[in-house]
Amino acid sequence: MDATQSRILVRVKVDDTHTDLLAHLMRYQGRRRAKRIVFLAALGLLVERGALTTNMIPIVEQDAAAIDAAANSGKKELKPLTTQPDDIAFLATLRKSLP
Amino acid sequence: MKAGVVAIDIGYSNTKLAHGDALVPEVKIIPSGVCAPDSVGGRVIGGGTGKTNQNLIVTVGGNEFAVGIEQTQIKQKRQRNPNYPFTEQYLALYYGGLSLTRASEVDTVVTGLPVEQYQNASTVSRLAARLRGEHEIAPGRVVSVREVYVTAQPVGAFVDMHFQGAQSKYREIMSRGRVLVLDPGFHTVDWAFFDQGSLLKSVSGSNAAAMSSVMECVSVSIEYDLGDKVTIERVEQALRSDSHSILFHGEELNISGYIETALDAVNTDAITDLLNAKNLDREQIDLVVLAGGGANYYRRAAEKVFPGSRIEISSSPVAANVRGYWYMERARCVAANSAASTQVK
Repeated sequence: MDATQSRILVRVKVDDTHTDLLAHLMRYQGRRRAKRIVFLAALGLLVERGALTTNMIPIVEQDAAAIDAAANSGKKELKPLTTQPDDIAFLATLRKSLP
Repeated sequence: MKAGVVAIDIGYSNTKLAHGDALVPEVKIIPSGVCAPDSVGGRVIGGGTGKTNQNLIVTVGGNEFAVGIEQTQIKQKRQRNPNYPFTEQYLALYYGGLSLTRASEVDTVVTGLPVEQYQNASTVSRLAARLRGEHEIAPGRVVSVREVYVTAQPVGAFVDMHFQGAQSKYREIMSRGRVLVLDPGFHTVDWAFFDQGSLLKSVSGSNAAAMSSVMECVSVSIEYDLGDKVTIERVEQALRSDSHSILFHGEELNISGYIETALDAVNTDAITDLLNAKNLDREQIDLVVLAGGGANYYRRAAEKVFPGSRIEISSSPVAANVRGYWYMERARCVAANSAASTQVK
């Protein structure tokens, strides 16, 4: 039987911007599911480039934002640490009162 | 992998972790249930909504423990003694926290004790010594902890409010005003009083009228009304899930009314007692910060007892203490690094 013909239509590169998301997926969804999600994302790219046609509704920006938010859960809602002089003075006063 | 600051807050209900070397901590929460791994079978371990589900097995003194288990899945009664920080269960949760960071070396661990225990210097130094050094958290997996800093638990919520407070005016109040931090946990309500940014130890403390008393009250009331007992673990689960309902003899039972009554009875008394015990003048408190697992349930009582004060609940109050520990130590590291780099220039 002839082997199924295949060719590379698109390469998916996971760059620095997405390593957090990928690590999150691997950790909380498991390797198999993570691979499937990356595969689906690749299919999405193919659709976007017109290499495939589909009846699926395209991912809207809100969904993408939700995925991003899940990957960084606990980060975005927190305010970043600041070390302005008043922060340093606040902590110094507090420390002095602690044994 | 090396970690700079790891903050860990080991409570009776949840163990909270804040770590990472960025300007925002990575926060994780697991239930504080600990048991032998075979007693939970192959089930996925871990908590309710928004919690990190982790199946963690650690080794303490040659014994294996599964940590991060929901209390409802454990048959043994929860630890309730002042020696809790010196038990195997506590160390297992500490190892679980270290395991979640994936670090093999940690520069500084910051943790907290209830205020009354914190006021005992030998307890503080014993705990620091226990947590410092090399720990084999699982066979062949060693984590080395260079320094341990132990503080009072509500200090974390105080620092967290400085960095996370929704209103910038709170920063001014916290530096110049009088702030009471109330931290209702499962077995104790901790409170700490700060005047112009300094902790006043003499008017800070802990008492036992905590969430467990509220749940006990709910359980007793249900038994009185309906003639059968509901464990406080099931009441706790209903409170945590916000559903406020449990299955009672196969029927859905809404326990909101029982909870409201119990909160009114227990919490107002608890806060009034602490004010009387420490002779604290409630009229001169500028801001009351509520943190910890029971924060939302104490708001009404706090409003009643401190009618003239601003009342603020920490954002994600369960993790407020641990975030504060992290902010406190991480700020010191960032400031020290920046001073060192200025000197080099």
